[in-house]
Amino acid sequence: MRTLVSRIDLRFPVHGADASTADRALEVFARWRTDPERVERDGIVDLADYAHLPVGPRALLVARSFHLGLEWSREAGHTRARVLVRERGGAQESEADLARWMAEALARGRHRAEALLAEPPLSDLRLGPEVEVQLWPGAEPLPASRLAGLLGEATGRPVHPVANGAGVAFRLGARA
Amino acid sequence: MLVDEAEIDAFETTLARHRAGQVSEKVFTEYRLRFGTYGQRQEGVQMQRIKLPLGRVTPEQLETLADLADHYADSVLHVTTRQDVQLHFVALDDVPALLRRLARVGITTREACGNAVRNVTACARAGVCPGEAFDTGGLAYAIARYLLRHPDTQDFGRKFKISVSGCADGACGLARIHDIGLVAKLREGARGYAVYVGGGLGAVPRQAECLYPWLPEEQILPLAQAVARVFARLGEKRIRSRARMKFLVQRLGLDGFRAEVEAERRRLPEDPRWSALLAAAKAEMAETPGAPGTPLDPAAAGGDFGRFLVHNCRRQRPHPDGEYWTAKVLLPLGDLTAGQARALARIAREHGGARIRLTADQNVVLRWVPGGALPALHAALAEADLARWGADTARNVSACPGTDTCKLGIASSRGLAATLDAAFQDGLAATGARTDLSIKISGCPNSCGQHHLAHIGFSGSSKRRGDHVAPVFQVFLGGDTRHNGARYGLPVGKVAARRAPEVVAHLERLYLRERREGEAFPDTMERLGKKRIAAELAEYMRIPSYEEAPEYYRDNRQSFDYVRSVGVGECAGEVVAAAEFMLEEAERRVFEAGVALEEGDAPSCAAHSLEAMRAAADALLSTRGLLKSDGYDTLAEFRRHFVEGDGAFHAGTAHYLEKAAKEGEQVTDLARLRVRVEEASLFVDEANVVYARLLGAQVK
Repeated sequence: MRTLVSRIDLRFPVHGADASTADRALEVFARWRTDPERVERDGIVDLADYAHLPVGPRALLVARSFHLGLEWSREAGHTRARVLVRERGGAQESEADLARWMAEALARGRHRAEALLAEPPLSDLRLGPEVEVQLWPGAEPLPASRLAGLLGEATGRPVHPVANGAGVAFRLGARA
Repeated sequence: MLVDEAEIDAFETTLARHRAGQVSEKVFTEYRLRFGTYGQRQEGVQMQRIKLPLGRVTPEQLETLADLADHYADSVLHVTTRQDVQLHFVALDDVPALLRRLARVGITTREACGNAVRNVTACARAGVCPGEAFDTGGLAYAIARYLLRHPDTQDFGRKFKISVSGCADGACGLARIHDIGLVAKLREGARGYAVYVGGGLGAVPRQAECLYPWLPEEQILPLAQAVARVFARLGEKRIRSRARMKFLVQRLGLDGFRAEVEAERRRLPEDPRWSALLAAAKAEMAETPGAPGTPLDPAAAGGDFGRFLVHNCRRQRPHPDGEYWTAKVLLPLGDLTAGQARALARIAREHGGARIRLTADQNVVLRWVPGGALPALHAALAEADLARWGADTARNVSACPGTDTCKLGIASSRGLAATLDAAFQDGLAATGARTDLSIKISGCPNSCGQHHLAHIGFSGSSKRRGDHVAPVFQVFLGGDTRHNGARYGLPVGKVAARRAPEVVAHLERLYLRERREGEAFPDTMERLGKKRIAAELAEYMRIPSYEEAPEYYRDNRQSFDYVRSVGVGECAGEVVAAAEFMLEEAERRVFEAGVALEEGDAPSCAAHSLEAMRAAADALLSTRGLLKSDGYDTLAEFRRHFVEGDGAFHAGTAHYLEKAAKEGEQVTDLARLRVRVEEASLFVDEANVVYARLLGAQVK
């Protein structure tokens, strides 16, 4: 079994977040984690409350195959909030498999982010059109340039490299 | 050897064998615990504890921890009261890869949990503190290295904790709460330690007692080994709640315990590592400054930096290269994000001589910061949201994971800590800024949050009223970390979890109203007495009915009703005898030998098949009280005890071991090796049968 990418992290910018946003997101996750249908369907494990941290994933829903949360970062003195969706990679027998999985993960991630912001406590927030993609190497990692190429082919969007601590990160521009 | 890649391969194989139903749940649980992999409260996910002796971590290691938190966990690193790091929500299948990446930067998680010697802790300022007798870092590290994987520490009934303190009066080393606590002391210029034994917190807290007022430094490693042997031999193995060493010390009495230790010490074969490891560890721990020690400009000490300087920074002991300081980075609830950890690594390189230690109060200390670099350090920390002031104030709250992730949690210790943290920034800001008040919170009576050592301690509990259960906290008053944690707080009553922040404010007011001149908080509380304090807190102890006030039935920071749910904790570990581990190792080696045979790898096949039989023989010998650290001859002793003695082991099968030992590991004939693997398999099967028979006999 080949694994080219072990995990994908998607970050969708959010507009309108304020000091109470993390708590409101946790309220939504608390409700989701006690909804048996949702727990079964999404494999929800629990929520993680990191609202005491000034940055990072301050409100997080942990599920078996993905994490969904609101994450804050500080860049050039400005605070930015983003919806974070993380998904574990499965087996990718070929680069074509990988490209397909990335496209599907992007679609699933966008859907999950929209579903979160559709919840009443968070419905005042707006999702931006951009997305940042961070890819974590698998057992047989590919070079960053190849990943960028595959991501571009899979999404039809321009791919720009981004410095983001670890893994390989890109920002996807608007579709041409 | 600190890291051992081969044991990570063995972990991966054992995990696969467990998945295939070939390793029992009980044995696998204790096995993974000994790699720091701990089942969370939430089913199917793990907490990975990462053992960092003395809380010492390099910038490179911290960056790796950050990458692992991002890659395998939830992007947050949690610092524990034992100077470890914990990652949460890790998938068991990811653990081998995670352990390999740690090994690459010189970190092992071996014996981070389970019935083993846990992380050896020490003052985070060891080696640079002006108040210490001398640098204790070398000895602490030597103990950690010496006892790691040591055969004499593999058969305990419970965990075993060791701490080394640089002085008698400080609040960092906490020697008195440990199984072995060492306090540095010079005697006529010679280095030595006061040795305390049998301390511990938990539901039955006990102060360690002084075994020796002074023992030369070079005698500490053999002493620790002798104590470990006594604990392994005489410690309780069946009743989990009585299995810590404190109960053994209590049962034997200090003099009786000392007599056992001294008898064991006399039996110990001389080990050259006692002195070699100590010398090597001292050399490894010796630190030199990364930059000249420029002086701090007093004019710079205003505003936020001024507060940071007063409350978080302390001057190091004088050094010929100039003025150096330590700076404590205050982490809310002991948490920092992966991004912050990377920033901290960079800041430590740029401003702190790249010397980082995690502290027992769940923070981080940067060492060797030149005085003149402190303002820039503060600015860089502020940029990364790490410049909170108040390391010596009530804002520095300690809390264990509690119901967030721990199976044993009863109430949300982190929920209360986060609520207090928010209140101390607003509303209760003056209380939070007090330097004469400390708060520690545990989610249950086991005291991982060290609530016994706080001026105000909280321990999670619950209270039923009708059909509903409310989370509550038992309040402990009067504990103190000073003098190595020599004073434990006493319980005064249970208060509603939701009202615990008001309890803190009330107790502060009471203290300010009632204190006598120069009287510290614990002394005032002791003088006022339990009855008076209980009357003061009565209004917070009342739990109204659910219909009256449903919010009392919700824990702090939780928007849903409380449900008491306490699982079987893994903190105590399953009691798996050393023999069972050795038999499991024997089984695994038979499996590995078979794989090697299939791959035509003769040397590996020969080695595994021989070692499988040796491990099985050692397993049986351990039931006769033989200790591997005595360096006995496995073949001779096995023959004496199990073949010639009572003939418990079939002589023909026993011969397979002797034949393989004679052939050694240089066999290249694959046909012979095929037979040898079969013989090893038969030998291990027979050993399992004999072990089961012995166990049956013991039970009778």
